[in-house]
Amino acid sequence: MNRQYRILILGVATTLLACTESFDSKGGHEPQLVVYSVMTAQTDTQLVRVYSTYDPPACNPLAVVVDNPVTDAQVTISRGGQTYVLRDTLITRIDKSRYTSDIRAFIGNPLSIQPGGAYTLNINSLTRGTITASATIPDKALMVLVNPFAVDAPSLFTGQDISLQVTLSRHTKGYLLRLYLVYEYTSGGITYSKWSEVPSMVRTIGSETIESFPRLVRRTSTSTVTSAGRESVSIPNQAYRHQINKIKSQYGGLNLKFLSGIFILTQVETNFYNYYNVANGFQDQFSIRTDEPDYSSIKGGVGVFGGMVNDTLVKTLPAFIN
Amino acid sequence: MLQRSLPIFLLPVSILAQGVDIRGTVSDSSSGEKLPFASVAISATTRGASSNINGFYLIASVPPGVYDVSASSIGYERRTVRVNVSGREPIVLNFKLAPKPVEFSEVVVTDRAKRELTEINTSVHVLEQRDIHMVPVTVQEDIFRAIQILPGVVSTSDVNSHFYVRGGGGDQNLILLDGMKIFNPYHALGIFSIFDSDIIKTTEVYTGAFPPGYGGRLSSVVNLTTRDGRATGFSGKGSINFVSSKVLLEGPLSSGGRLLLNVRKSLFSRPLSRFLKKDVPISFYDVFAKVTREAEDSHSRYGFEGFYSGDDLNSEKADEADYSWRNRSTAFVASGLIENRVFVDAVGYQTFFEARRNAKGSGLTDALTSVSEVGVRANATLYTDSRDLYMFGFEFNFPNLQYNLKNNFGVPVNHENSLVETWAWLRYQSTMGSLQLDGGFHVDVGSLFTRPTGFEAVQPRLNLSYQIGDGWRLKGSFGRYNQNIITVNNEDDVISIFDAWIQVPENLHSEQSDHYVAGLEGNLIPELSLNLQSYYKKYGSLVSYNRDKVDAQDPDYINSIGEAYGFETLVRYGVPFIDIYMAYTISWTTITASGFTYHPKYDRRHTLNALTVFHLADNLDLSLRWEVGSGFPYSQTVGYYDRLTFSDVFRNPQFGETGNPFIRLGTKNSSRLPIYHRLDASLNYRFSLGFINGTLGAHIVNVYDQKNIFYFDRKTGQQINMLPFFPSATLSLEY
Repeated sequence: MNRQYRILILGVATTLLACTESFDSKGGHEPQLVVYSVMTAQTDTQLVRVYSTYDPPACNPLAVVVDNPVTDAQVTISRGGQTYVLRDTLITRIDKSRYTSDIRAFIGNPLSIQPGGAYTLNINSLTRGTITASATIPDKALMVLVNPFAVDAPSLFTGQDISLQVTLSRHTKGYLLRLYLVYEYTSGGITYSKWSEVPSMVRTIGSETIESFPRLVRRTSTSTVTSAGRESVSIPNQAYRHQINKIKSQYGGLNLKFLSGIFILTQVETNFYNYYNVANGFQDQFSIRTDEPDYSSIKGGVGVFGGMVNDTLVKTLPAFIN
Repeated sequence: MLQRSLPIFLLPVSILAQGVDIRGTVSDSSSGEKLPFASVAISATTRGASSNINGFYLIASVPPGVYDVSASSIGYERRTVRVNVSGREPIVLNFKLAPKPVEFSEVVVTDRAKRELTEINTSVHVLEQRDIHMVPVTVQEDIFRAIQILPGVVSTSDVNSHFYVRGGGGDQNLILLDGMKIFNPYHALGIFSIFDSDIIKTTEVYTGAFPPGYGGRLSSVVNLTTRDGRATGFSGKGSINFVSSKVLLEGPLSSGGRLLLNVRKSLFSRPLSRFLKKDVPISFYDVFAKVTREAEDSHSRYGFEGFYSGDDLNSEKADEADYSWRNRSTAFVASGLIENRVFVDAVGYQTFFEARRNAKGSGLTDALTSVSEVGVRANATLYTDSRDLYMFGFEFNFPNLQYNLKNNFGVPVNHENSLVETWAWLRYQSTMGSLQLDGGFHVDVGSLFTRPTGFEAVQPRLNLSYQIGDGWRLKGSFGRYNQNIITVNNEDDVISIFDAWIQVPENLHSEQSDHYVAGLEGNLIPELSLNLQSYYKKYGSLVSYNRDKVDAQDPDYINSIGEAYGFETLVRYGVPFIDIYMAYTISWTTITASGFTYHPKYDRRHTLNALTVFHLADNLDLSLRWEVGSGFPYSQTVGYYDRLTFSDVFRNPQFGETGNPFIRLGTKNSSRLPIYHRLDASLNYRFSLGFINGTLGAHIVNVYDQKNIFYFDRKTGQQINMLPFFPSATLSLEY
């Protein structure tokens, strides 16, 4: 073999060796804080779950069977000049098939959240660093039932859905309106009181009746500091009658009495609205996307710090609804 | 000059005639197959013409006199005929050329007529069967594998013949089979194309700035023209390899027509599975049938053809999804000369594509995508006294697109679009001294009226070529393109084997791009040619995920923008003993959506294809192909967390949810896979046994067993490599 060929072969071999690179699909795990907190004005107890991202062996997260809460963190929630320091607590885990322990979290109690208040969450961990997040809780809403007769006598006004005018907070991105029927019946000499939610839609497919319940929707109105954003919300007459007839068919022979209709309006601020929708398939029944997008309102971390507020309107019902 | 500037196609052609037209066809004397790109020249003059895809040529207005007219094509004996030109009637000269052994093979264009096509256009490559034979075989010979050696063309894997051209997406390639649109031209996860190379006469590949007659795609055109079958004597061919077998029959019919029938069917999936070290339960077939009739005197021909293909990927594992793909296309094709100087090509077709996914226990969802399209396309070429060519045509397509799936919200979605695509074009070719011009307009009439602004609808196309020295040409091209139907898949998937076709959402601009190409080509020495090209592609609008979507009121997709640019070098060297082909491309592609700029997953910085064919003996060739490509972008996994859904938080506000493991990715496509390189080798021995001609081939894929990454499963961390060292053999017998 002459010299040129030897040089050529050596050159090719060197090139091939130089062309071999190692590969790791992971980018070097740097733990980040994972934070979940949805403040609510309904109770004086606020919870904050603080975790860390993890790096499972063999890329199999289910191989990790021990929860990884961050326990060395100081967690505070502040508003204006007031700061509340949260303490450790345990929450009952619903499903213990993967993690058998209960959930370690931070609790603020009593910690009442003020509608319209701007809150800042601070988490300072010796091992995982510091994050801050902020959220503004929606103000209380105003609800006006436009056509109460449609609630009292739906069969007489089949063309009219139950209609409400709601005035939303300027901090509200989405809301959810539910109507519960409160009724009582007597069985075996005992009177039972019950609540039942009215669906937002009832469809019949073949012999199957499918009920859909109200979902979080994005507001369509805008409101500013000086002008309120009003929305018209309705509950379909057909769905309302369906629920009444369902209750009647179940308890009609048991001295059934309707007591009241309770409208509950839940307003959700931007952070939680965005997180909730992204984590639940965009709440979009027409979407054709198949990706799994991520969303976080935590700067320097993962998760959500948000809030919501409920408002209630009670409408007394006739004992017998036709 | 006056004739050049006037729209003379509006005038009666006979008025303009200053001499006598010589016209006819060029065909193979043994098979009767029409020969495209053959050269017909009048000796002692500068007059001449090239045969078109139907083998037709026309030399207009030849002054009276006696001439020697010769026809030639690579691989055929030159034939010369003496003609006495007189009177006013056109002279018909049909050349039948006798095949001869190719003295030294070529990988790409060196034939004069093929060169004429490329002399004007910057980015066209014409591949014939012998070109495809030169590329080392990956299990079996394949046209799309051959396309992947062209500069500017990138494939993302060994086991996938999907290709990406100059920074364009995989759905931006227009695939035409005799004018029929083919929406999914791949078999078996894309390991092979559905087109058997034996039925294909010519493959034209436009990698950019394609002419006005093509539209509806942003990046490239692959125009496949099938053979008609033998005009004399029935012939058959059978071949078998480790994966499939096929039978080809061709010959004259008693009714005067010709038949071409090709059937291919997979036999075994085990060899592939064994070498891939993964269960690849592939099963596929394709059938092509074509009946053609022609009338020599009027140079007209018409025919029917049908193409059917199917693939099934059925896994025995309960946690792996099953897939199936089907193509069905039928067409009526016709061409002929009308009004002495106007040659018309027309096709009416129906094409159907369907893909299904049966999710089983894979965690995916069931899905179906289909495209059903009826279309008609016609193109006319007007030959003029000034030797300029005018071409004009139209196309109507009526695609119906369906995409059914169960979406992430858990709701079945039936997404259906029906649209009308109406295109018209005008093209003009001229030679003015050293300058050649090929320009015109393509108009997407539908988008003009239906899209938000319609700016993308009027599409100028221009190719200029200027001879700057002996055999050297400077070229420049520009073209505007748009695309109304696209494929969607999960942009975050490392690989995608289920791409669904949809219409670009009506509230968005159709996809649009502008191509700018500049090139220089010529011969350094007679045996060594050099082709340098640089391109810049501006994507005025693309369709990308709306990363800011949070709910149903936000659209799934938004318009994004992008750009791609690069530099290509193509070197060819040919002497009787050896052919060398070397293509190097350096390129950049970026997409910007919602203010974020990233490299798409097919963006490759460096690509080198080196192909060497040793002609060891008259009947023995050794081909070596070495491909090197820098790594593709991917998003690294930077951690996991348990994501809560709060799905029932409004009615049952407890906080005890565990959540589901969720992969947290780093910045999109900010990392690169390792470099890819692979050496393939093929040894082909041709022999004759009586009336049977045969080819015996021995092939090795990945000679030095390089571990190139195919993909990795984020959920298991498992790394799947591309084809390992994989020897195979083929046997073809032909009578």
